[in-house]
Amino acid sequence: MAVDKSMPILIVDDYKTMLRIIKNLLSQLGFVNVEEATNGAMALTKLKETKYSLIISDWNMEPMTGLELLRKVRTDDALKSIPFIMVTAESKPDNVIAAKQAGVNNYIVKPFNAETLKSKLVSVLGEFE
Amino acid sequence: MLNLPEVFLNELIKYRLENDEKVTSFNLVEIIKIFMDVFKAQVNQESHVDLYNEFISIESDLEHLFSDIDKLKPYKMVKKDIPSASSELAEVIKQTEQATNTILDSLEQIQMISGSMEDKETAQMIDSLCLGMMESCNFQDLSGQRIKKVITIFANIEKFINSSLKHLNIPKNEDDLREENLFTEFEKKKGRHLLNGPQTQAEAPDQKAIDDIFNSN
Repeated sequence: MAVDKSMPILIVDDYKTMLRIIKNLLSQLGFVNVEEATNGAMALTKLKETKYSLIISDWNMEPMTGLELLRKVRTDDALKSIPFIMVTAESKPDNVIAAKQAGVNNYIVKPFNAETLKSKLVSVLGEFE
Repeated sequence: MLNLPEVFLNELIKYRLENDEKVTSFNLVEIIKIFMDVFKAQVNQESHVDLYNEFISIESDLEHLFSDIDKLKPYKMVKKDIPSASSELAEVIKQTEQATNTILDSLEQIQMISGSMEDKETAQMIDSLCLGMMESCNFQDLSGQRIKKVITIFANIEKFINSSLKHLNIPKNEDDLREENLFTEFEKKKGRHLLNGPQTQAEAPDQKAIDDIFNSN
């Protein structure tokens, strides 16, 4: 099934510069229906209001980390099937394993480039032009 | 006639023998307690009530002082926290310098391309935008200077703490330096022990290494 690039995507990061970069890269790939949240709690509020098709989240945020957000998403019946990509500077093996055990679909380490983001989107959503 | 100093001295000698401890600034609280006990037993407190209360206050202040020092985990601060903070800041300077150079390289290439454009008006607009971007790259130098000031402040704080620990004879607490004691069980359950932040460029794995870990677990 072809990937619907009009799908609503939620990006979560406490650094506005990073939100801008990710949004810009997604736009260049054709994904223009992108909303932002600057922390986990804001993300959860938005997730209750809108049916997103993908979540891209940072890890190191306060008061709710990306890992805590992921766990809440995966334990919520209404949200648990939404694909979740972690984009983070946390790069130790324990981090990757913890995120995978919590149900993350893929893991991007910062700094990343456009090609990495695209390849992870393809792995999670399927091939697209 | 009572010889208060002699009684106090005898008690101090007894303390050293019983505890196998030297009298140092660290056990000032114990020394004050010994003095207070001697004072209470030997002196009419009513006629020296002000002096008595002043010593009570000193005892309390010293107890709080050493308790506060212990809560700060000073050995962890000088062996781990401050060096770690300084090296993070040094890494910031290094990485912003690299990023700035990448931006400047790209800007110079854009300017070369715009120089060969036939549409001079558009070329001028591009050059003007490039110039704005180059000028804003001044941030890297200014940020670097500010950060170096902070690194110097950290170094001075570290020196001061080391000196204070030596002069107060604070015993080293190896437990404070152990990884497993850095977080409570509640914090570990929430994953707080996993928040390390970015590693140095030398240590950080690339995306392929991350993918290998992800795919093998």
